[in-house]
Amino acid sequence: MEFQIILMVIVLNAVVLGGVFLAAYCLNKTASGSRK
Amino acid sequence: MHVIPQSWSHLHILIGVFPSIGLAILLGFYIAGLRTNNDFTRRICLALIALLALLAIPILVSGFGSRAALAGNAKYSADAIATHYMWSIAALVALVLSGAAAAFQLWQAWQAKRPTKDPFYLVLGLGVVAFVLAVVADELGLKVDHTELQLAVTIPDISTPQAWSHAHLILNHIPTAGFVFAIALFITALVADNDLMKRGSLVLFVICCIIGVPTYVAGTAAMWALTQPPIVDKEISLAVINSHRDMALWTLFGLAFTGAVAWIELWRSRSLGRFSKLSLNLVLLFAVITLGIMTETGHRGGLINHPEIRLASDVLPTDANVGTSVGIEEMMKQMIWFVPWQTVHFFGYCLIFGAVFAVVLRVLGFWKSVSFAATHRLLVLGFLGVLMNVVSGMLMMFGDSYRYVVSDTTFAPKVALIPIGAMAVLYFSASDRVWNVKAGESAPTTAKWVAAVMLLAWAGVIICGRMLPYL
Repeated sequence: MEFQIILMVIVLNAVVLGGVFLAAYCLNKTASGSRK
Repeated sequence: MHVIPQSWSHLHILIGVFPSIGLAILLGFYIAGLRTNNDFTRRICLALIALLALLAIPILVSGFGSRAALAGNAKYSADAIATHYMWSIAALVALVLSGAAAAFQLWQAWQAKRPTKDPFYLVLGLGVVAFVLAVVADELGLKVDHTELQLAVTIPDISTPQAWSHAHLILNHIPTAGFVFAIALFITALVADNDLMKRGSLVLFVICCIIGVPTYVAGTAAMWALTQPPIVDKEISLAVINSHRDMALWTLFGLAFTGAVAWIELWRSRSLGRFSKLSLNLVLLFAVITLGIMTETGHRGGLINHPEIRLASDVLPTDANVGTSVGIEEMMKQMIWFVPWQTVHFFGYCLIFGAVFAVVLRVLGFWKSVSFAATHRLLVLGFLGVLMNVVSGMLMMFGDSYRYVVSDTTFAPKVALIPIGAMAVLYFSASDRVWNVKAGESAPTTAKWVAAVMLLAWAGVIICGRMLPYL
C-alpha cells in the first residue's frame, strides 16, 4: 500500500507540475508576441 | 425543474438581489469612467443605472404578491416582514431617484451634444445611498425566510456555526448576479471596442470567480450546519442538497475556466499592449455557459430551503447516497487519493508564495534593479498555483469537510484570506500605475500597502492551513 501511495504521489505530481510548467512556458511565449 | 418563476415569491427572491449587486458593479465602472475621463463608459453606466431603477417595479409588485401569499403562515414572522418592507421601500425610493438622476444626466448631455458631467456627484451619491439601503433590505429579507440563521442552541464539536450558512447565502449572489452584469458590460465593450470596459469586465469576471471559492466552501459548511444535527421545523433534505452540490461542482469548474481565460488575457495584454479577439470571445463563451450552469445551481439551491417556490410538478431527489459529490467524497477518504492531492496542494503554495514574494520584494523596494514588468511575468506562476490549489483544495475538503468546519478553528480564517490574497494578485495584474514602474523607480504607496496585505494574506493562508489538524 505504501509503495502504491508513493507511486501515485510521484505520477500525479509529475503530471500536474509538468502541465503547469508547460502552460507557463506557452503563456510566456504568447505574451512575448512570439507565436512560433 | 422550473427555472422560470411561477410565483410572486419565486420572482421576488430571484430579482431582489439585483439592485445591490448591480449598483456596486455599475458605480465601480462609473467611478472608473470618471477617473479616466471615458465618456462612453459613463454613458453606459448611467443608462444601466436608469434601467436598474426600472427593476423597482417588479420587485415591489412581487414583494406585495409574496406578502399576500405568506400572510397568515405561522412560519414567517410578521415583524420580520414589516421591517424588511420598510427598508426595501427606502431602498427602492433611493434606487428610483438614482435612476432618475442618471437618466437626467444622459438626457442633458444628449441635448447639449457634450460629454456627460456629474458636477455634484449626484448619481454617485444617490447610488451609494441606494446601495447601502439595498444591502440592509437584502439582509432583512434573508431573515424573513432563513430563521435557522438565528439558531442559538449549538452542541460543541457537533454543530456547525450557522455563520457559514449566512456567508453562503450572501456570497452565492455575487458570482450569479455579478455574471449577468459582467456579460452585459463585456458585450457592450466588445461591440463598441472600448478598452476600459473590456479591462473592467475581465477584472469583474475574475472577481466573481474568486468569490466562487469561499462560496463553494461555505456551501459545504452550510450543508453540515443544516443537517447535522437536523434543523427542527425545517424540511431540509440531504438528497436535495446533494443535487445542488453536484451542480455547484460544475459551476466551480465553469468559474475556474472563465476566470482563468479572463485573467490570462488581462496578464498577457499587458505585455502585448492589445487584447486578443479570440481570447475575448473565448471568455464570453465560457461566461455564458457558466451563467447557464449557475442559474440551474442557484435554482437547486433555492429548492433546499424555500418550500414556497416548489411546484407540485417538481420531482425532488430522495436518495442522499447518489451523485458525483458523494462519489468524490468516498474516493478522497482513501489515502491513495488524499496524499497525492495534498502534495499537489503544497507544490501549489510554493508557486504562489514564490511568485508573490518576488512581486512584493520589487514593490516594497528591495529589488529595485528590475522593472515591475519583469516581476509581472512571474505572476503567471502564482496564478497557476492558485488554479492547482483550488482544484486540490476542493478535493481535499471532500475528504473530511465536516471536521474542517466543526473542529478546525483555522479553517474559516484560511478561507477568508484566500480571496484577499487573490484580489491583491489581481490588482498587480491589472494596475496601470504599477505596470509603468521602471527599473530604479519606487512603486506608488498604494501598491506598497497592497503588497504588504498580499504577503500577509498568503502567509496567513499557509499558516492557517498547516495548523488545521492541530488547532
